[in-house]
Amino acid sequence: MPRPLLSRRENRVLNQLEVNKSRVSSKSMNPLKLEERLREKRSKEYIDAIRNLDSGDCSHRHGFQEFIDCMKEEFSDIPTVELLVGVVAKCYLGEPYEVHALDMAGNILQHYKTNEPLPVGLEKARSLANHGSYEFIEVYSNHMVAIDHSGNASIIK
Amino acid sequence: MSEKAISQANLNEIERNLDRLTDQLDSAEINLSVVHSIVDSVQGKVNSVQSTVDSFNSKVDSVQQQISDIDSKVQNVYNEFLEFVNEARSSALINEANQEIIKLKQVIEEDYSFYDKARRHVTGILQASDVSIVKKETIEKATQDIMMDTPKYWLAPALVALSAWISDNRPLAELALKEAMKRDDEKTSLLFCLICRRADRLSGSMTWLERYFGMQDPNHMGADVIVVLEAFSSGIFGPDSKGLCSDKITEWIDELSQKADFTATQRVKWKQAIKGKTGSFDENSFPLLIKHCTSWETLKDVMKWAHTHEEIDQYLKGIFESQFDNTFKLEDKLDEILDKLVNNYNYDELHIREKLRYNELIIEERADMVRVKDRFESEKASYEQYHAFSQHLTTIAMSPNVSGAEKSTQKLAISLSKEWIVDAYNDLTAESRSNVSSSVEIEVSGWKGNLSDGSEETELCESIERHADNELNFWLTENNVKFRHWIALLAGMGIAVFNLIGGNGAMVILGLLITCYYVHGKIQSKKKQEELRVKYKSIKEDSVKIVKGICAEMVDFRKLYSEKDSEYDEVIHFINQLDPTQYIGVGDKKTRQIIS
Repeated sequence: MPRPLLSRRENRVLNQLEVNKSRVSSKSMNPLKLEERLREKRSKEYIDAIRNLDSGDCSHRHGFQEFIDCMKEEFSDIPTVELLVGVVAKCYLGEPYEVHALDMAGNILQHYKTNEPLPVGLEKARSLANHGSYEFIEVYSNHMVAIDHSGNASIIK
Repeated sequence: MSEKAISQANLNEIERNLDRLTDQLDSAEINLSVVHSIVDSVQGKVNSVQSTVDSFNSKVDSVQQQISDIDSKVQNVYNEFLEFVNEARSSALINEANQEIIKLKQVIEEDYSFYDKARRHVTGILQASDVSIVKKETIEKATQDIMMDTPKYWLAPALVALSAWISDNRPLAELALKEAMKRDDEKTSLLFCLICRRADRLSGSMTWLERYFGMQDPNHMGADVIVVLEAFSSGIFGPDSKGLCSDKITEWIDELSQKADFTATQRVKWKQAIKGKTGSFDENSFPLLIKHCTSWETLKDVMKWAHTHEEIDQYLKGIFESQFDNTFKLEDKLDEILDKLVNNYNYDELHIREKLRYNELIIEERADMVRVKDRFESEKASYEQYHAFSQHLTTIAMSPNVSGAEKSTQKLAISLSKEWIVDAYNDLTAESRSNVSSSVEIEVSGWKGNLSDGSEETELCESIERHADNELNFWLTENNVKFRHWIALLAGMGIAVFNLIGGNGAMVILGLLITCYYVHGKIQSKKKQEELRVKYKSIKEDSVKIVKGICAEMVDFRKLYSEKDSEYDEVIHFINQLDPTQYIGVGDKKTRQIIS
């Protein structure tokens, strides 16, 4: 099992970084409106922030915090309950690592080997992340959004 | 003296004992000879039993082989029978479909033949009027006969109005027109829009077109709107119409988009339409994967979707690479469109034409009912009377044989629907790709392994060899000499030796017979174990061959999938760069006109 890129102490600190701060409302969004919103093209800054997570640059708080800030900015109009469960992407560290996953519940980024199970809820995104045609896969509670290199979104229910 | 006597006596006694011993030894020797001959006799009998058992075993093997041959033949017969049944079923379905088509065409001929007569008269009257070689009275009489023969049909009074117009009989023209509009206002307005355009009366044409547009609800439109798009894409309406038609289309789409679920519904409909183009591939290229991969059905589906990109690419190229003939004569083009208006969109016949199409699909797809169902579902909507404007765009784009639309109209429809198509196509492709697992399970004669891209052939071969060795060891152990045989050996030897000393020949024989049970068991065990070794050597070799074959097929499968999947990029790029303004025809002018 690879060492998490963030230490437990950093995890506890990150929990205090108030990821939830920007959440305006705890009410659900209309599903149709949510789908339209999630289909919008992702910004370059957001895509770059996720790319940087794989380079190992976020082993310190600043990089990861940058990503969280970027994510909050990208989805500032989406209520709490609709937010990401996690992000899964192909890992380019090479064998034996296959994918890496950002688990929003634990605020942790981890690299996973082939056949090593992902956290609950993120496993369904493994095949798609590994396909190589998408930059990363956003995982929500009942659907996934595949984002390609240009930021275009495809929804899988 | 006495000592000498005593010694003599002792010697005599000893001599007598020795004699007695000698007699006993002789007796024992005789007994042993008897025992030897009995043992020889028993050995002979054992050998005889052994050869009988051997003979029995070889007969059993022979019977087993025959059973195996029969089983294989029965399986072949069963497979052939299944194939025959499937072919017979397909033939029956195709025959039924052919008969149904004949029946339906007869119904159309009988019930709607007068409609056909009326339809032919539209262009007939116009062309006759062009060259003025038919008397006006003849035209008048013909249209009045049609009026009598086709009650309730909107075209009949429209033809009377047309002939009255040609004859300059205004009151009759107005009366007939009113009746035609009462029966079908939209079609009548469209008909006279085109007739006016044909007569080069642009202003009249536009008035009728505006009237037609005024009646339209984009949520609930008849299929005759396809005629408008056809005329528009061909440039029939000329330059002045650009603002009228393009603004109207934009207004309709905007109005539809106001509905909360409109875009989502469009995506669903386009997904249905695109699924109708799902590709296929030669599954027979992967016989081992079909047999041994536990998730073959999933692999098959992702490969079919990968082949869909080529299907869609060819479909789009077939439309967009066709040359637009902008040198046509306006009258000919208008006559063509008029024909479509009066022939293709009569709602009374729609339910019959729907059945006709279903049966045609059965023949086209050679009774592959899964494909028939997919294609019919994607075309079904076009047989309903009214739809949202967006659904008509889908019908034009994906079912031209149903809509009767020209390629120029298809280009316009596809480019107007671009965003919905891209979303639907992207979603379907992502969904298929999410099922492409990096590792699949394979099973060979009870052994299971995980296969990714075929590069792990060596590890898998070693694994299946170990599996075969473990199985062999298990069966060798199962076929060892049993505990009862060892008991027999010990008991038999014990009885024989004990009674040999005691001189009881019969018990010695019994002991030896009991020992023979062990000998027999040992011989059988060795024979069986040797057979197992030979069998498992063969199984191991075959299994390794199969695993190597599976790995080779997986290499080919992944390579083919990668090639076909990559065709998605070209298709999506093509669709993304479509622009509706490029697909406006210019009628008989060469100048390209741009809609702002």
